[in-house]
Amino acid sequence: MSDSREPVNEDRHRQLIESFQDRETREGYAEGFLHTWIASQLATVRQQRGLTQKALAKTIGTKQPGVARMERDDYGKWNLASLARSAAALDCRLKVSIETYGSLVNEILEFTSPEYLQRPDFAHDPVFFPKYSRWKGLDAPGPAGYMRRQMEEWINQGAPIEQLELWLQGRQLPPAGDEVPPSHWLIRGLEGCPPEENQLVVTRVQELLFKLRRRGDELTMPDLELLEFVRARPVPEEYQPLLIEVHDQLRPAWGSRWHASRPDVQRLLLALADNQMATAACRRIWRECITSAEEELEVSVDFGLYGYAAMPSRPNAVEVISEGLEACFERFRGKQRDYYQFTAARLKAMYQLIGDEQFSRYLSQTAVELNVREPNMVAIQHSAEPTAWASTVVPYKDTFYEEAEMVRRLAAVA
Amino acid sequence: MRDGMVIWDYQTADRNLILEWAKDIRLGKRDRGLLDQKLDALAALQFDMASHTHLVAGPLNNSPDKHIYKLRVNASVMIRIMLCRGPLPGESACTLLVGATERDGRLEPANAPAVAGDRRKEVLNDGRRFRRAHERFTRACERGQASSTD
Repeated sequence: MSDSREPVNEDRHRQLIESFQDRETREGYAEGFLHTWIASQLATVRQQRGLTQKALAKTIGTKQPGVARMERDDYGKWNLASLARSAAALDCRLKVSIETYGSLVNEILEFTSPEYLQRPDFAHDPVFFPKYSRWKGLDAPGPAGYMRRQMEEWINQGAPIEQLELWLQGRQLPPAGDEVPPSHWLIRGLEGCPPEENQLVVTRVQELLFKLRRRGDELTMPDLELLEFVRARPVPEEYQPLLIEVHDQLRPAWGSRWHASRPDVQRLLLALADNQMATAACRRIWRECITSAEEELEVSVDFGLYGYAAMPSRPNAVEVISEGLEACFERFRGKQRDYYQFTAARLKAMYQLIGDEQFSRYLSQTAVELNVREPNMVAIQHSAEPTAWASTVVPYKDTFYEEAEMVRRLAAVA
Repeated sequence: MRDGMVIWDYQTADRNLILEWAKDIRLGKRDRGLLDQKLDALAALQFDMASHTHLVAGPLNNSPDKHIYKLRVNASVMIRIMLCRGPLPGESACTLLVGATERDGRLEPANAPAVAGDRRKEVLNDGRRFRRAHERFTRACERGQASSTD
């Protein structure tokens, strides 16, 4: 999935490069950045250590107002000796260095929250303590490093499930904008986790899935975050049985409310698709998605295809998918719609399956007329002849290249 | 995903009044660079830390609206931009409302906090109409200068 932050950063990077061409501008910016850095890092690391301004003042031989002044963005009169004393009192060192403006651009782009300024004390410095060095990137700046340190501490305490539940509820996470989902922070936090400690996380996730299965009712926001986490860090042999049980519990309980177009159903199906082994139970679920006669058939087929394509092996894929696509077209004709929309995701799933010789033959025997209608959509025009799936491709825009290329390759097979 | 706060500029009749103010007081290039940096810092540090380091001060007592703060930037002139958190519910953002400078402890314009209060209410009533994404001063002022010399 593409990170929506990337274009913003690219744009900002370009703006900084442009504005720094002017000497006065870059000097003004750099001076302001230095002041912000000194004042806010002093405050951030002091708070990280749990020290009051008064306590720090006592350690470095000054009064509380002296520390308060040093933590002001507009102070501008810091001296090396007092900064070095402050760094030492915080169990860190002071670094003064002459740097390029190029490095400033990177620092600006990375500095997105106060946690970026945090630094571990000597006792938590992974360079000196093997206990911590098992975790990679524990000293990373910014929210990711902060989250890793929190999770490392959590695992050291036996990974209490209550804390995991709090995180999934979006509590006690880095303050980096409400739109960042909790699962994102858990995934980032565990990026440096050594495999032997990850097993404890898997066990806690299994316990939460088990609780979810027993509850068997609505999926709440923390449940959806749990499923997103399970999808991003798959352990099929551990998660698949529980996910199937959750599915089998919810589907009959929800009855007519079960729709593949619902975000909660989608989250469950995607978690299962990325955590499956070649079992009959999974095949049954994807077959149901592909061939079921639900109202939201197109979405259902999408997820069925995605799930099928993600299976380690796909026996009877041709029959199941042929059956599903025929069912699609039957329903489509019944509704008298002008064209049947094929999303990029569905095409991708089909393309992955094209490796199957029989399936390729099936596609080539049918006739398709592919026509790109909109930049983000491929429309397969309805043909009166069910055997007429055409093979003409009209790339619409550069942004559509990837999808168009998939279609082109499909057509080449046909 | 986007880290940090989103910064908005107050606008009316499709005119960005914050940028117009910056052009009016003829900020030098160095000051524009400094001002851009302070707004980047505000977005990154978020309100609590920015308030702790006195980058923003407030809420101001001399405004009838008790949600007005000022951004403090000591450039060649004492820049004081009136702003508020949000103000729309649930957003991690702040909105620049009125540009001002300070000399001998007095704001110019003197009624900047009161005007900011009025503008905040307008944004609250219709955020789409009365604000737009913040535009960097270095870019906007250079563009303004280029167009005026054309």
